[in-house]
Amino acid sequence: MNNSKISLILLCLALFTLGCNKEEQELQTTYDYSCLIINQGNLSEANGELSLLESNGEIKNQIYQTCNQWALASIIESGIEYKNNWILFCSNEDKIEIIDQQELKLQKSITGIPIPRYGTTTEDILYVTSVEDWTDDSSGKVYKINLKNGEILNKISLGNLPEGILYFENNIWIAADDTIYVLNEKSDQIIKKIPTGMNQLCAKHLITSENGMVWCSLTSHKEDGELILIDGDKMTIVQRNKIPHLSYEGHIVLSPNKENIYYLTSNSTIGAQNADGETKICKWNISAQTSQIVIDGVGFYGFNIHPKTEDIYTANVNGFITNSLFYLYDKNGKIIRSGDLVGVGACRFLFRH
Amino acid sequence: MKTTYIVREMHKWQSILLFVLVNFTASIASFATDSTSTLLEEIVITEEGQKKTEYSFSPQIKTDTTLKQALQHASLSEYVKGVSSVFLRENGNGMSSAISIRGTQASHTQVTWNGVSINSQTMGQVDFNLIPMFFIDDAEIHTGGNSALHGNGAIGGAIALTSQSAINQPLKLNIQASAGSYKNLFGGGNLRVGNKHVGSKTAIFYHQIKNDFKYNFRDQKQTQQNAAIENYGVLEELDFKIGSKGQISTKFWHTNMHREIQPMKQNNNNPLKYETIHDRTSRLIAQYKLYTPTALFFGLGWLNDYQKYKEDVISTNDLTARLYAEHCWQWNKAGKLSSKTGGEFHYIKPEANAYKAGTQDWRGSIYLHNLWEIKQWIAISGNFRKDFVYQTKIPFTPSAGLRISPIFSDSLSINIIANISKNIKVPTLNDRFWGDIDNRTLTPEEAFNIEVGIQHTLEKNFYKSQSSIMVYRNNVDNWILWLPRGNIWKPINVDEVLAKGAEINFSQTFTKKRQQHTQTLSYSINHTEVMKGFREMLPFVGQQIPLLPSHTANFLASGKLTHITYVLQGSYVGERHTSDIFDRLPHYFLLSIQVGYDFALSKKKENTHGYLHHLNLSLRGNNILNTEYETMPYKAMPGRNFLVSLKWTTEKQIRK
Repeated sequence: MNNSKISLILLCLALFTLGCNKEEQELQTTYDYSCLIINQGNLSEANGELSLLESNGEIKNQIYQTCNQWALASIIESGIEYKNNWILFCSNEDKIEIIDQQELKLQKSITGIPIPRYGTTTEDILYVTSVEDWTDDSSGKVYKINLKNGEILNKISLGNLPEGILYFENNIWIAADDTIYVLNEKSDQIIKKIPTGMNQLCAKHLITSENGMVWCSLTSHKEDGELILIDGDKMTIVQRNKIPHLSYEGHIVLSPNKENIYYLTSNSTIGAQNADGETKICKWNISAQTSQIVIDGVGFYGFNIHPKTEDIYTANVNGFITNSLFYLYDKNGKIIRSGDLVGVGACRFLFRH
Repeated sequence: MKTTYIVREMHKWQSILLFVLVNFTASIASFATDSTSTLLEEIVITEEGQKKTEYSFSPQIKTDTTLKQALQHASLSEYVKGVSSVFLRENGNGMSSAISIRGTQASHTQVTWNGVSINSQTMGQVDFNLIPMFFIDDAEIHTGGNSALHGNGAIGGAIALTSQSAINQPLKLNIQASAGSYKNLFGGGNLRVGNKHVGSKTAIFYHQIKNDFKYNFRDQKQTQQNAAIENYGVLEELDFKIGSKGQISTKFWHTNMHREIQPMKQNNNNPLKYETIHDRTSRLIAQYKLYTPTALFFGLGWLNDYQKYKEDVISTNDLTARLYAEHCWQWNKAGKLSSKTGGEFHYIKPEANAYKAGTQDWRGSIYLHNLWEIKQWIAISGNFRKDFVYQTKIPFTPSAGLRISPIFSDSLSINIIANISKNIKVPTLNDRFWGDIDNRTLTPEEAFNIEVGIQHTLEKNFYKSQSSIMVYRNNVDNWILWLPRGNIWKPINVDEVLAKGAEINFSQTFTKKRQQHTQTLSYSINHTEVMKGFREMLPFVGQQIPLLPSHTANFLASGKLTHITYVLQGSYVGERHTSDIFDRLPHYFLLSIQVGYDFALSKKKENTHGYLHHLNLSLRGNNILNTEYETMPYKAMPGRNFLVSLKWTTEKQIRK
């Protein structure tokens, strides 16, 4: 056998060995992290992804693809916690993905729901707001899904485009344009329509506070926003508060001590997407009915408040054009860490309860 | 074919205008030239006049006839990818195709058809899949910016598509039918006929492809849905000789393309995501040329682009007038000054729902090109252009070039070249008029391009080779990008973008009796980075901008051996970032092969007026390595596929 033949055989063996190593690389990994960062992604590239802020302070990016062999290939609209899982609401591919919190591996993928936006759960039932066509009000629906088997149990047409959704005292509350709908959990019937009273303002997000009250944010492309307080029993608006420059997304979070509501303001009514756009994270004191600026920043699109430490998690989304820069502040607005690169459009921050 | 006129004397009246404009340059030339030399009487002007490129020393990739013939069924996008290392980004197979020369964006390449810009007035760029190779006689690629020469938008380079006159051409009829994978069907015919006075070229084609290729996605075999394309076109070009020195030409182009928009891989089976787009292009130009010692040209044109996406229609009508004069002065055998001056005017009327009613635009430019071949070993070029755009201030754009030939002979020349230019891109109609946005503060993009390099040409007996190595640096100020600002997305000027890199091109041709073999090799390395004024690109500091490869390479071997023709194409595209710096599109290599056989159905006879008939049968294999690749995220591209073509040719034999 001449030298060239021996070389060829050795080369084949080397290639074979390399190929085997790749197969053996699949390892079980669990993650210890304090925050799951949802990077919404760039619309034209559908590169929504997840990042982790690990307990040791490290940031891990591209975590979905790392844990799941394939990329998500979607825009992640939002996410919620469900038992020991995360539920991700994804547009572009229009799917709802359930991944476990430990290994971040895909457990279930539910399809057939156009542009799922936000969701809430009651035991093993998921309610999702969905918008098939942003130009067609009649395409706004709420889907009811059995999380055990992924079956779509019902879809309820609203006649408006729904956004935030909240499970509260055996009813599902849905913020949709100029109306807040209340859907009975058992009958799947709309039992109440609460007009927000302001045609230019769209109802966006709902949270509960103490004493059976519901807060809703109203935002507009053209006007200042509002925070309205609704009596949960009577289902009537009992208080209206003007919030100048409330960001169009209208995301609101209740502080751990339930005394304040955090919100985001932006000079841009579509939501401070550009890197230099002035944005502020503020808090509304419920009892004093006054607001206070906590963080004066730029380029924020979303945020969340840690349920125990009250630390503020946010990011400059750089216009959703490139990677976001992650920022962490304490509850007084003092910066803890800044400028860490995460994925594209980091705007949802989820914590394990 | 080009006709050469030998002119015995100059007509003063035809030179006056040009003489005034180039007086300064000519004075310098006279001063530098031997004062005892006198103006030679015999001056040569070719029929086509001095081509634009001959006024600069920038690299150019000439038409590869074999590849052009092999891709008659395909688009300009396929041809450019085959002949150069220029990168084209396609939104799927046959979908919109955007060029990037030297790391610039698609609207930084100026594309002309017989001298008229065909870049979309609304978007500023050309979709290279809308241009059928069946209509193109010559396609030259010029890398390197030179707005003074090529006009608005030529920041990265230019592509000149030109037609050859049929005057004095014997009758030639081609009929081609092709069929291939994914229900790819092409049928076309062209007839070229001419005599001493009139020439005509007529071409018509129809093409459709179902594009139902298979690809892997998440370990599953998928069949591509909603990616069918149907297009057709007609071309008519007429040339009339007026006297011995004049010519009138009219050219009409009409193409129509209906495309299903190829969905992303993850939406392939979701009919809710299926969309279509319809493009229609009509162009009519008429021009008059007079080939006297001073060549004169006057042309009128109408260009209509129409696009319908969903219910949105956007179209433009562009009325254009062009005028130029060109002259050569020759003092001695080595020294020659060529000058060309002229201007053009555009009136553009867009029709788009997104524009305010009554939107219109006027544009014009005047220019002067000079090439001074001082001695055989040294030449300089100087080009100047001033553009005028309604309500927009446009800077003056000069360019200059130097060519030094330390070695020059009939067989071997080595040139050291340097070019420097200031280039511009005027904001497009969309940039200026889209929606209710007030974009009066938007300024034209301004680029400063400098390049140096070395070229060689060797020609000996049956062998010819050419090579060039160019290094360039292109600073673009006020680069226009659409970004979210306030309540809307709007175009903004980015302070500074730097594109730098190098290009290597090599080609060699062996020509012998009844055979010719050509090999070309090209490689580009590029780095384009936002330097200032675009905070969104902070994560990409020190990195190549998204979706643009740093490395591209291309290999092409083509030729003819008696009755056999062959083409072997290989192209490499390097890894690219997506908008997420942690995410990368992998590099890929594509290989295509085409082999054809020419059956002579009649024998060539001496001294007759008979007709020769040929039948050419060819088989083409694209992506024969079955490479999985994407140029845009999640847009599938086809694997190995084939095309069989039959081409009938009848040509009239010329009596010797």
